Amino acid sequence: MEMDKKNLTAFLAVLVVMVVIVGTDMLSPGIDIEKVGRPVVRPPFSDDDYNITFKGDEIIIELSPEIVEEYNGRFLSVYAYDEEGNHISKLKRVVNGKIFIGREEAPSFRAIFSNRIVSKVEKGDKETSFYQILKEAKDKGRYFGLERCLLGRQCIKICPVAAVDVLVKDTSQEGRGRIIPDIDYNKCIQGGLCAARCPTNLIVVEKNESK
Amino acid sequence: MEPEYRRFNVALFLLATLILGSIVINAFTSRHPWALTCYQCKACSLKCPLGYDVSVYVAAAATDNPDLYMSASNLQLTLEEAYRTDPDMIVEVYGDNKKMTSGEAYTRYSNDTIVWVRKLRVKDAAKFDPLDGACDSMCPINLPITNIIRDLKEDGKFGNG
Repeated sequence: MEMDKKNLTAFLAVLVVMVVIVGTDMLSPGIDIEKVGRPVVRPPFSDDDYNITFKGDEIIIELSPEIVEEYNGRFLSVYAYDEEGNHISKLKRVVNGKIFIGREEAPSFRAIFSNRIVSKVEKGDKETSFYQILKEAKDKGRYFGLERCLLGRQCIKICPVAAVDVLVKDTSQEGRGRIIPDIDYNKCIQGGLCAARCPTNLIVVEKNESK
Repeated sequence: MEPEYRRFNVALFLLATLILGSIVINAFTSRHPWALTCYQCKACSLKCPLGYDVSVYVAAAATDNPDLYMSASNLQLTLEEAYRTDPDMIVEVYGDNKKMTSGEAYTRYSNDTIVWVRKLRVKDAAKFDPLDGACDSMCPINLPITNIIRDLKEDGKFGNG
């Protein structure tokens, strides 16, 4: 009984310390988010921006000088749709202005949709060849191409007001099934955090006209 | 207990405390003390699009040692970039199956040859990391692994982020 009292006192003491720590943290003013401008999703790459060729055992994607200037040494995503309508992507670094994908390379991710919303992003199947998936998509007229979204959901994680909540399929003609973040402008406080966090500048900030 | 055994026990206890204590101190020095809670399940490595052994990032933070080497399977660099980054980086020349250090490859191939990186230092891995955050989503205890990467990206040292 004596021991129980001691344990209870120790437990209460720890609890008080934790309440004080959490309480102090909650009383702190937090971070002020300055309004920097409206975040917008950049338009997709056009046919003039890159050229995909199947050469022997590899796919070579040659980028236009403007794209090379922005993305050389950075990562972009090459994507193709499989027969089940899933978005299969391969993240590759742009080296010497080109992207090289070997026949043996497995896809990085498989995005599964629920309507047009990305409901799940799985690791790509190690047993499949991204080369084959891309070739099949090209031959059978399914969507394929180059896109900026790396499916890391950094924009979703950083947004303090959940204005960017989901990734969606771009169903526009020129979007060709690329994946983009869905920004809810009714919730957006224009803090610019999503644009700052996006590793490929898919989201950029439109400057405030009032500023 | 014999006095000499007791002294031996105490000495071993102090030694163990020193070793374990140094791990804790290192983890705090790197400013990522939560790294100590990683139990190396390696779930983070499963989804990394670069094929990094991501758990080494956490091990590096726990030991405050950004010079640890980690494996990679989907990172391509030019030979020039690889050599300038680290001459001891293990690379494989694209289209060739030979693994060698970038220093060795540099003497055999032209500078703009494309190489696969097979082993590189944690600080260099962070430099080339696109920070897509796939590893974070896999961690069963929600460790903020991208914070380590972001921290190292600055200057290759711990303690900025």
